[in-house]
Amino acid sequence: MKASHKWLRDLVPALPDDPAIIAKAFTNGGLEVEGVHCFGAASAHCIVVRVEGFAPHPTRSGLRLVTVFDGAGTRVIVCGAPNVPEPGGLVVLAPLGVELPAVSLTIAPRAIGGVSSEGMLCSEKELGLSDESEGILVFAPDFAVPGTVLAAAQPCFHDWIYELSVTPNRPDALGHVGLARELCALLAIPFSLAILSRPGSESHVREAHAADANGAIALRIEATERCEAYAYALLEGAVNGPSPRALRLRLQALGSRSISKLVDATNEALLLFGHPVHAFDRDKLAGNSLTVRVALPGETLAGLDGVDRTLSADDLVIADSKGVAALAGVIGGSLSSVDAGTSRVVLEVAVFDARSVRRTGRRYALHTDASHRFERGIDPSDTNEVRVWCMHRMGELTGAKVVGVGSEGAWLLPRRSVTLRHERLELVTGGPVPWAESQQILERLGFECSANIPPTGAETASATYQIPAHRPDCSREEDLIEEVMRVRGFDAIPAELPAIRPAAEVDGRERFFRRLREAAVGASLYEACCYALTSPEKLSAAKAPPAIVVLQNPLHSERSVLRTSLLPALLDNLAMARRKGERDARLFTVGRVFLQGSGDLPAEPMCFCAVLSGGVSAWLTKGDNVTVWDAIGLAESVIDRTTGHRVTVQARVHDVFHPRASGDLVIGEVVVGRFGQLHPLVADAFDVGRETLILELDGEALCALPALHEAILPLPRFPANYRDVALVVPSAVAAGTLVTAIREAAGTLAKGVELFDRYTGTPIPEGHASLAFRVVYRADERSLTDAEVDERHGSVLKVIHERFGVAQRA
Amino acid sequence: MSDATPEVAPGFTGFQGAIEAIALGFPARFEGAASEAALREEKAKLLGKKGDLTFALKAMGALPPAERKAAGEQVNGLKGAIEAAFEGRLRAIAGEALARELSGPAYDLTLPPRVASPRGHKHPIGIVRDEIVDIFRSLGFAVHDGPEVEREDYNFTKLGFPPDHPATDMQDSFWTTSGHLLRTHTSNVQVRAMLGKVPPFAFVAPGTVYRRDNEDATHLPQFNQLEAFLVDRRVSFSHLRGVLAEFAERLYGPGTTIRLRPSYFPFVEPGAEVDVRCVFCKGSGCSTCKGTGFIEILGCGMIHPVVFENCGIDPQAWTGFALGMGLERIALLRYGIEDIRLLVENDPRFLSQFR
Repeated sequence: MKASHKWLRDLVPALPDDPAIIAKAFTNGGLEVEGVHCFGAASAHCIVVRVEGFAPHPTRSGLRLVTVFDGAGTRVIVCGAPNVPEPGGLVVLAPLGVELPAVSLTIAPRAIGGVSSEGMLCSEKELGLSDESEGILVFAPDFAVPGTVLAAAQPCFHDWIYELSVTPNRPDALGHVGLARELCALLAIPFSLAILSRPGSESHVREAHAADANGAIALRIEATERCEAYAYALLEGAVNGPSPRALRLRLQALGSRSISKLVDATNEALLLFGHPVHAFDRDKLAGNSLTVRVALPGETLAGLDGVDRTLSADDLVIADSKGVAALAGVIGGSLSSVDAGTSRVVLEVAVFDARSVRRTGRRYALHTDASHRFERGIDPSDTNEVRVWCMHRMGELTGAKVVGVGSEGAWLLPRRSVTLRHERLELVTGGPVPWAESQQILERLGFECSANIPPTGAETASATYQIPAHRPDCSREEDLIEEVMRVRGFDAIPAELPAIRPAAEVDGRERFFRRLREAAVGASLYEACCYALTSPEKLSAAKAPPAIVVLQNPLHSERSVLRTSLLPALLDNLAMARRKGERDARLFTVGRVFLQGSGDLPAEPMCFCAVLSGGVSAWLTKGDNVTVWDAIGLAESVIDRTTGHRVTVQARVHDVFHPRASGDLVIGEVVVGRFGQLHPLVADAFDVGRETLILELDGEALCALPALHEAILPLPRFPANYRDVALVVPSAVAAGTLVTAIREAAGTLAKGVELFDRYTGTPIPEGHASLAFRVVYRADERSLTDAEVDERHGSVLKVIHERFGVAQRA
Repeated sequence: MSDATPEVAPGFTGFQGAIEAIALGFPARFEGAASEAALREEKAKLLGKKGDLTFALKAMGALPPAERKAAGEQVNGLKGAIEAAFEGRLRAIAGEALARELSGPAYDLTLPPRVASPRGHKHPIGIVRDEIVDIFRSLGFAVHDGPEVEREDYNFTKLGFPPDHPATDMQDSFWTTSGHLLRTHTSNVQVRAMLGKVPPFAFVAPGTVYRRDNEDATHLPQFNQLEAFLVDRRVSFSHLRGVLAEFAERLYGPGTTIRLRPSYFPFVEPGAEVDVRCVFCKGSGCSTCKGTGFIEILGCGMIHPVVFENCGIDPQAWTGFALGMGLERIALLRYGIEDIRLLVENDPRFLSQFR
């Protein structure tokens, strides 16, 4: 909403003439001022001058040398405009040094064709007053004394415009009357709209009513639940045409294009009262009736915006005897619209249902100044006032006379009343609020106090207020409390920390998943923040389950479902990094996936996913590419740091992984995750490296693991003995199998078996590997002798030889 | 006496001669050993199984019994002298080695450091969220969760959004084919908490939310919010201000001031927007705060009685406040990130900058 500083002060001359004060008051009161712009900034520096004479330019055809009188002396200006008036006429001069921001120009001394110009004669466009102009501004000789600053000569040339962000609960702030009332309340200035009252308007309407008795227009509201009231005035004898400059510039300053006197009068009424009005050309309406009803099947309307629409049975329309003339509260029809030749006008001032207007507007993606206001709820009580004001304005502008008025429905509705308790006001505020001050504030805002009950014994003081019709957002005690608080100012309320009794911890999950994230960061991973919105194709390419949550209205097909796996987004991030030349990436994310739930809502379990790609760091040598053992190590480390549990690996083929490097992560009986090298075809589909490794953890399973026993084990009291053994085994024998076999064979004396070397190549035969294990022997209650250990280790070697047919490496 | 020779010829049979040869020869032999290994080798040649002194000891058996005692003392004395000389020389060699080691050229400390495990990095949203959750936790709020796919009733209706009202334009929603929506704010957690728990309670709810905005430099269709709310007897706007002031100082540093402006959210009344004094220019006006000296960071207000009523809580008996903020906005301001899309691209070069 744009608001004019001058117009507000026209309505309430007592308002301060300082835009900074007004802007601050608006913002502090809840109508945020996003900017204050100067309209016609150059007008404050340009002066009105009188043309004394002109002569052709000596060298340039099309230019003239204009001699002007600026009140003190004469100057010669080079001018190319065709409409320089005869001597005696007045024009506007931008003297040297003046800035014209609208055309990004600063007037500097400059010779044009050898003649230097002492300034520039300006057009409206150059002054920033309109978008287009033909020729320079010209005034009649009696307009002003030469030398007068333009802004001082006529107020319409200069204004301050407030850009207000009006929240949807404040329809009253969508017109200058409401804004003036708000400012008066905020600044404690008496508010009266005496300036708008038209002497004799009531009798005028009565006469018109009488004249209309023969039924100039038969008005009927069929859809009474969608139209509380409809009032019209019929005017005749209008001479339409371009609006006078003051009106044209006011509309321009407020972002509304001037069209013609009749249309501009309706727009002026809208900007003044916030109550949209519409004008029909009476001679284009069929028959003598207007009906407010819903659209009939198949009905169409050619809108003022040039679009033909087939209407819905949910659309509220204004119909003449032939068909739809307007979409109520949204847009008029081009067939009944006012044009340059219009002389008979039907002026409509109505109260349409907010929800109905909103549905129609959304249905056709039409958001008009009118629908914007109706959607938010207009003040029905000013219906007649607006009609009277607007018909007067039309008369003033076009000479039209009112020949008939009519109305249906009721616009003066009984007011709701709400009781405010002093105790409640102070409770919600959290500090003392003088009772009298609250009453003054509410009355300034238009709330009328109908009963004020002083405190009696245990009872707090209370007062009952009538809600003004322009505040449809107010209906209960809290609304009144808010009004008092915001007008007093929030900064007047003291700050006090509440004593909070901490609620029982329901945040164990947050702590757990933070620990998981921190473990991953500790394991050199970078945390990613990923879109949960993805596409069925991406999920399918990553072999994830099909989506359960599908959007009705996605922005585009790439983000049309919610993920069932964290993997596709991370692979996309990886591919993007790769395209930018970053081949080494270690990313993880923790977030929800969306699966079939037990009720009507989906299940939203937390998951962890990491992707590793590129090299691993090594010191002063070229590091290797990541391998599946990096993924396993990462899994062990992250799970250990998060839960303290040790995870075991079980080979298992998952179709998203390379069949040779794919497995599950198990704790006890519970599968808590899976890992693997990305399947080469999946890697290709996402355009990531084929060496890419994946680790996926089931956050819910990890979070649900039992807590570990916290007591520590006693330290060993006796020394350990170590024995190494190197075995040459076929590559098909898994090292883990040997570790298990050695551990079993060594019995309880073996406290640890560790593979510490793996070697292939000469002299180890093809298809074999030499695996070197270290076995740690220790007894809990005594020192072992070398002989005892040798004997036990010898029996281990024997068992291994018998079971696997492998010999100790020489 | 003949000249001392370092060698003892195998054929030498005179005990006294052998002892004297050893006694005369060993100091020079030890002195000539340049390394610990050479020294030990020399010692072994004297005292080892086949060493000269051992050999001499064996020859002692040939002496007449009367001379044996004196010879034994002589041998032991010599052995002690050898041991002492050995220890002395050993210390000297170690000292020389240490001196050499200490005086060698300095290591090249400009080589890259050898890092066992390079550091990882939290995402800026994660950093900001953890920090803010911790602030509210320390003020007594506990974390509460809510679903991202939500019933319209819990996301809008129970929070007092009128149907077909422009207030819902502020939060254009994604609808699912099963008639639910992706929550447009974390305020659904208020409803969930109020329906499931009996006041008093104080919760903080961080989470992902969705709005139907096209992705551009300042918008994402999916972003993160954090909501905190308190419901108790006699909670007032003054308490809200107290929590906000504390929060602002903990997040932005001591002395950070806030400003409250009335605003509108359907589920609070009165509602306010909160600005903090610009942390970049300290209020004098800069490009970040668009010259105003203040930066808007969150919305808040007293919980609307309609919300209490819709959730079965008596608004006369209980009052409360709620506040909510966008985590992206806070992260963008803190780190000077100019394009919000960087937050979802997860470029390693971007992520590696967060500590």
